[in-house]
Amino acid sequence: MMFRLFELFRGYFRINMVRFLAYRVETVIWLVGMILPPVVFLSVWQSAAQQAGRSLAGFSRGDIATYFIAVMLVNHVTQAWAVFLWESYVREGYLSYVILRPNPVMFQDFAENVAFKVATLPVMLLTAVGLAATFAPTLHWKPWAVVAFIPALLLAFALRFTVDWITATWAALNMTKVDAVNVLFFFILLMTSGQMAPLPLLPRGIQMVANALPFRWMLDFPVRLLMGRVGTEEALIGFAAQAGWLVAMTGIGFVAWRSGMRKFTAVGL
Amino acid sequence: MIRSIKGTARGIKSALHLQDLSKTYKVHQRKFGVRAALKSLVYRDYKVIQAVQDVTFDVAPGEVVGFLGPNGAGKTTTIKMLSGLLYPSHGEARVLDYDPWRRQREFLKRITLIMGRRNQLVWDVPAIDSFEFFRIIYGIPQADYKSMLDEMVALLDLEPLLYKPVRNLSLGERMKCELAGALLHRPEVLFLDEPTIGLDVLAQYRFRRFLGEYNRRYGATILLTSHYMGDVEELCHRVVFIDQGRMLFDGSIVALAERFLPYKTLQLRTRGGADLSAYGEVISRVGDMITLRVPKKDTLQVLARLVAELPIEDLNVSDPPITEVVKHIYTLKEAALAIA
Repeated sequence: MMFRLFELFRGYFRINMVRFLAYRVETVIWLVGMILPPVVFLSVWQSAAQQAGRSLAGFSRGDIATYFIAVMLVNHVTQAWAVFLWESYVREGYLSYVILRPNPVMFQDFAENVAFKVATLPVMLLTAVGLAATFAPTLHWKPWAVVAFIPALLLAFALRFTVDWITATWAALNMTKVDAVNVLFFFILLMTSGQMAPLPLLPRGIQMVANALPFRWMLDFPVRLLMGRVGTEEALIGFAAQAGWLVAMTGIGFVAWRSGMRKFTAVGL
Repeated sequence: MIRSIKGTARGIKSALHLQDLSKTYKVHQRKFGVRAALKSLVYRDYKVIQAVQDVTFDVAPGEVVGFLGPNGAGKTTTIKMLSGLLYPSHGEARVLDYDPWRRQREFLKRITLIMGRRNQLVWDVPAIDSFEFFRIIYGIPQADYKSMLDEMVALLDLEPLLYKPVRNLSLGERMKCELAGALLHRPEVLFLDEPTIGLDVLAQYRFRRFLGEYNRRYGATILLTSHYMGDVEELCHRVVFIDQGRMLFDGSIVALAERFLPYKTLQLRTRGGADLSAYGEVISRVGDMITLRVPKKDTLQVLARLVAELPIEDLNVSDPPITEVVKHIYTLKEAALAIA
């Protein structure tokens, strides 16, 4: 069973890797799009901290640099984009072929996701080194937190991928048009995950919304854990939140998929 | 080594079994214009479309059946239900004794769906990469994959196409690769929806020849929809005809012609170009060659009169081409529905 799953993953991974290598320019453009936002936010918040003449909500200029370099790397690992892909899947009829393959539909997106990241990770790491040399980050790492960061990162990826995939499939199967959902999804993610700023720097209202949604556990939590800004109690709460959201989302996804497939009209074919 | 799939379908009476299969869609509709579009924001008007209605037929293992009907007849919807893409609203569908809707892994490994002008090959990489991908996801053993690929390459003349990005292939070349990719796992049931659409005459011919060979070699069951009657004539002994979601006919092509266009076509050349309207309906006159349509029951009698009364130089009697039959049914849709 495990061997078969590994074989399947290998097949999907290989074809997607070949595809990314064929789309060289597109891959570079995506990479630039992923690197630029954290660099811009880093510059903006460092300037704000400098003008304030002190730290912002406990974040010094060096902490801000560390935060956004970590955000760039964690965002790269946890990034998911099924919401972006599924409209074309449905409208061009490709989904029908994917559905008729003898393996779970999710495999296609999962393997594509991992293949892209493996292909581009060296560039991201080099970029991180370059940013570290430029923006002088401060490091306050705690060994246990660095170890705990690994499962937190994996759970963050699992949660983000699941939420993204459920949103994509729900919108595609029920509405066919996914674009509008795509815009809303990425806006909420930007505001409440910690992508735009460390959450303590944002207004109280946004922090409350962020606490009620799953997105902060996809980015803010693993980043602050890596930076050593999370105590053991908060770390345990973080893990519990990640696992709880993941279980809930998987359940919702299962129901949404089954009901969506009953409504699916296989348009585009 | 060529492994026949005939044995695997043996023991099943029907490869395809449809009993009162029906599908309804709820479709949002509105009138023309901006005002109607604005109104539809608050008030949605839905219409229930009966796409397929109580369709019942069986297809034996190894049989090739033409599934005919005009645009919007319900052919593609039926094929989508049989392949497992759509959930039926009513009735039963069984394919190789599986419930298609469940899309069990073993079921999906035994069928294939080919839609004309639709791609499942990855657009920007050579077809051979997609083939290797299909080998892995269908769990095809290396030896079987190699023998099947070699066979496809030989039958479809694929060698020059394998290593070019799919986007650089012509439509005909791409469809050949699509066909090869769809058959690598040696499916027992093929659902083909307009597979030759857009192909030139030669490509259509090769496509049909290959499908015929695949059917003979592996005993595969094929359900084919096509608007090119050449596909149907060459591959299918039996046709199922549907219109407006309802089944009108199930039988041989000859029986279809007998039921809906019970005429014989007489082509004859006479000296002097006589007026033949007294013998039957004159369909065409090209030089000395005249084509007559004569009711089937009167054919012998008309032939005897023609031979006795006219100086005939050449004579040919044939059934009307299937294209004529289908065209005739399309024009007599309402009457045909009444017959059914």
